[in-house]
Amino acid sequence: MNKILNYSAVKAIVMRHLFEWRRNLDRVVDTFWWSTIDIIFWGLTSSYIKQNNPQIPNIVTLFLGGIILWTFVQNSQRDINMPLLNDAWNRNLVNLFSTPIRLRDFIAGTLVLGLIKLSMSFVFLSVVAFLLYQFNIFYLGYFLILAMVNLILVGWWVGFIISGLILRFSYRVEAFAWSLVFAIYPFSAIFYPVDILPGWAQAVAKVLPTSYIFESMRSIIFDGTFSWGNIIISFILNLIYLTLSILFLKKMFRESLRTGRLVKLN
Amino acid sequence: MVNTMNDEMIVEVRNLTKKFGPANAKSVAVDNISFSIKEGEIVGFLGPNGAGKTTTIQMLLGLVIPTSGTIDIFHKSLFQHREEILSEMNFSSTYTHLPWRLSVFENLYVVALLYSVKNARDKVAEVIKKMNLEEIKDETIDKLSSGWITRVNLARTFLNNPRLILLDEPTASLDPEGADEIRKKILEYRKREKATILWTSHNMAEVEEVCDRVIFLHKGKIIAEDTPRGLAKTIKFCRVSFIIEEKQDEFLRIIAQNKWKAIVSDKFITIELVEEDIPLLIQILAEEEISYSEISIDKPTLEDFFISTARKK
Repeated sequence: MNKILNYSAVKAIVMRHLFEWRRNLDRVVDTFWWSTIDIIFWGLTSSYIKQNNPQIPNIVTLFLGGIILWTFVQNSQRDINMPLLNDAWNRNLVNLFSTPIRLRDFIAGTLVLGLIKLSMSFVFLSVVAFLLYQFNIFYLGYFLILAMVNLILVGWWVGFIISGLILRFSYRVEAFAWSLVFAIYPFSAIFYPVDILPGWAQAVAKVLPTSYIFESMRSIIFDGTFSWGNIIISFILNLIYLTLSILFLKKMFRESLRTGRLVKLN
Repeated sequence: MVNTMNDEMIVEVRNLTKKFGPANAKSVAVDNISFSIKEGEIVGFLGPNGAGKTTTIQMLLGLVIPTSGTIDIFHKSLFQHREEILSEMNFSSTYTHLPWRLSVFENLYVVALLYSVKNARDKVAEVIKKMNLEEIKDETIDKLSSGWITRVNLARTFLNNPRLILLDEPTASLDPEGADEIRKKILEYRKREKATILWTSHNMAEVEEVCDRVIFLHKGKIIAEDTPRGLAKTIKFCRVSFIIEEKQDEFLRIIAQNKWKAIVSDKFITIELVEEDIPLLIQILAEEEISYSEISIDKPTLEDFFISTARKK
């Protein structure tokens, strides 16, 4: 029983939400719709800028690359939080946590589920970007894999913090599941370099793993090179934040059992 | 009732207390309770709203951490062997819902996986058959009536062949026929598997019918513990009802003289008195030539115990 993971329980979480996903238009919209709208909007905007400013090279690549990579952060974060919220909305948390499942099995299930959905949305968006703007995300080469790993980790630690806050403050903070990740959006330097940010904002950007990834993306697009140093800094920051966020979530889960908030969320 | 009990205690709760709220203003939901349940026993967990029944069940399920006290289930500490213990227990409540966008089969399959049931699909199919759910197995939960949902909830409870089942008002949303069917299914399972059941309900007749023993909670404390009949017997008063169409005033005057309590509704009169006084009442009726067309005597029930205890405290 003291296995690191209870694979059957992990599978249960994945199956439970995949069964629901195909019948729930909200979740399908979350997976595909908003990112597709972003691709269309920013693709058209960047095409227009390029037409009027031909001296700016690779502007479409910059915008579409940024949008697709940001999708990893946003979707992986949301996929961490939605299973918890979904079970709370369904008044199923008591049923769920009265079984032998442990928090770690639940987290592992949400991670696997998130990766499955992220793969689907990534393939879909890549195809849409290619069909509409002949943009090939794989042009970023193996940097794409390094960026994906780091950005998914960002989504995960932000998601764990939000889940911890939901366990602590209940539905009062459920809007964080859709909004909190955007707190790092302006400091992540997705479409512009960190240098143009004011001093205090640069300081914030320096402690965010995302800014190093998007700086590297721009280096590849404009110079064809990227700094391994940036990738390593991003990865180290991610490991630190991921560890802290898991400890925070564990503490909040334990607190929710002590205060009875887990049951009240139901 | 079939005797499926042996003397082995499989639930032992000692000095269990749960306080909620900030340190300086804590409210006590469960106040230093201790009880044991024998293997194969059905124990009714009764009490008015806010008595602490649900909090106790939540602690037995590891959903709420107690402030103090110990819970041993199957001779192991729940806090140290949570997964092991929960894999041999199950729980069903009218107040928790199943994911409503999943079909009956999908819901049961997910639960089977959560309990690491081997050959989960086959087990689900077997339980669906036993619970007569074949005709709705592909329906999503949101399309089912409350009667069907209760049956599905109960089917969910049997998936891991639990040795201990906690049932929180399992028949609360059902009509009498549906409730009877659910009770039969539970009792069949208990007989077959020699399972132990902790059963909360506000339906006192149901508790009297199914429970071997009752634990009565009030304001977080256990205030009585006995068989349903034993608890009912602690109430000394019984009720005698008549239909009296003539000499009603004279009859009520005699009742008042004897300091019995009468409830009058048109020609229906109910007298509350100790059982030993019934012959005296009948004798007075005969002597005063007061005629009645119907008479019924109701002995005290568990419901009377419930109402009287809840009011007294």
